[in-house]
Amino acid sequence: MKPLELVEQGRFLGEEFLLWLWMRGLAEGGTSGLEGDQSACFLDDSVQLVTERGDVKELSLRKGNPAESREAFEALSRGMRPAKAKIRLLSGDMEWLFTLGAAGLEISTLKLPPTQSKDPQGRVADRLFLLEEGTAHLERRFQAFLTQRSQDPDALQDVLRDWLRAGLDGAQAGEPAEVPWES
Amino acid sequence: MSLLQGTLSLRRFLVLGPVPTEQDLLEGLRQDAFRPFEDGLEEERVGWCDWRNLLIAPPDEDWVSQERFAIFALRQDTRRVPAALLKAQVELKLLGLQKEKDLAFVGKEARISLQDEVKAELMVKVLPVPRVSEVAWDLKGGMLWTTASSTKTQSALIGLFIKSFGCELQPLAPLLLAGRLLPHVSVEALMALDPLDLTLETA
Repeated sequence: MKPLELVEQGRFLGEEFLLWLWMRGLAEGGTSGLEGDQSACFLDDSVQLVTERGDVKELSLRKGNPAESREAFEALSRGMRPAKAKIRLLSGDMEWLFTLGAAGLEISTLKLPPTQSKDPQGRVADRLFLLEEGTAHLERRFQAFLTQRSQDPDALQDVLRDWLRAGLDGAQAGEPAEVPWES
Repeated sequence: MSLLQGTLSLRRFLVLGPVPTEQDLLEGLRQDAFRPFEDGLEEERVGWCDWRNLLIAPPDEDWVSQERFAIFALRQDTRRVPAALLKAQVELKLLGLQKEKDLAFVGKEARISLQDEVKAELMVKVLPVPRVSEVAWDLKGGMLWTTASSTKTQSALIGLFIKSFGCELQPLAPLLLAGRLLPHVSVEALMALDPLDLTLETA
């Protein structure tokens, strides 16, 4: 299979992963659900939704709080899917901020946590470490999503639909009492 | 924007093929190092350069190996004569030629030949526009990070990479990553997954 075909064929998995991150950010305090993982991941202030049906093919929601907006939930419930979204990832006192694309899981405008090294070699080593650290957090989440997705897709579909309904009603169920990355 | 500072836009590729020895790696970088334009009508050039400075080609050996990574950069230069300028210059030359040889008309072949001549003259004066994309190759993990974000640059990277190192690059898109993260699930099973239907009846 050619690289572009491979990207295209798996696009829906990327879109659903973004949606899963979005849902967990709102309903599960951004946790991955994995034991011992203290990191948190949220949809930040920008999301682009797309669809192949209807009159509007693309909807960009920016600034404010698009993740909890009625516009976003209405679009999702009509079948629109996230094509890219700004993500905020937290672990301890470190923060990664980037835009994640659904088609190729491409990372754009990534802001890494600050580094201490002054020399170029040290800086690059630090930044590569931070890059891999951030990616590892994201991959753990992707793995958790894929496990649910491949084992029981119907259950995941129901969970996401329930979350969409709750979003439309303006209520977010299951807010955690304590945020894990601050403990 | 670079691996050294600022925000980053990155693509990840899976490297398929045998990992080269350090000597083979450096030889590949030397063999396909970036070479500046010379005379002629060539509009594009691609090659490897140092990740710290695009004028260092081939990349400085001491800076390529950074722990388990090989770090270098892809330099892609383009030079183009602005179409309006080329047209204007050709027209002036044609008028001069017609006047000089008292011609009422200049044939198509002669026009094309004149245009190539003028283009070659102007090409020498045009400064190339360089584009540098950094590459960090995790030799142990078989993974490659690059700041090459456009499809065109990625194609150039994939092409030159296989030429220099004999390794294929596959974009680490959801399906490929899924195959790596869930090795117990077959590729066929992953490819057979259907998108979830999240449309609500009430919407």
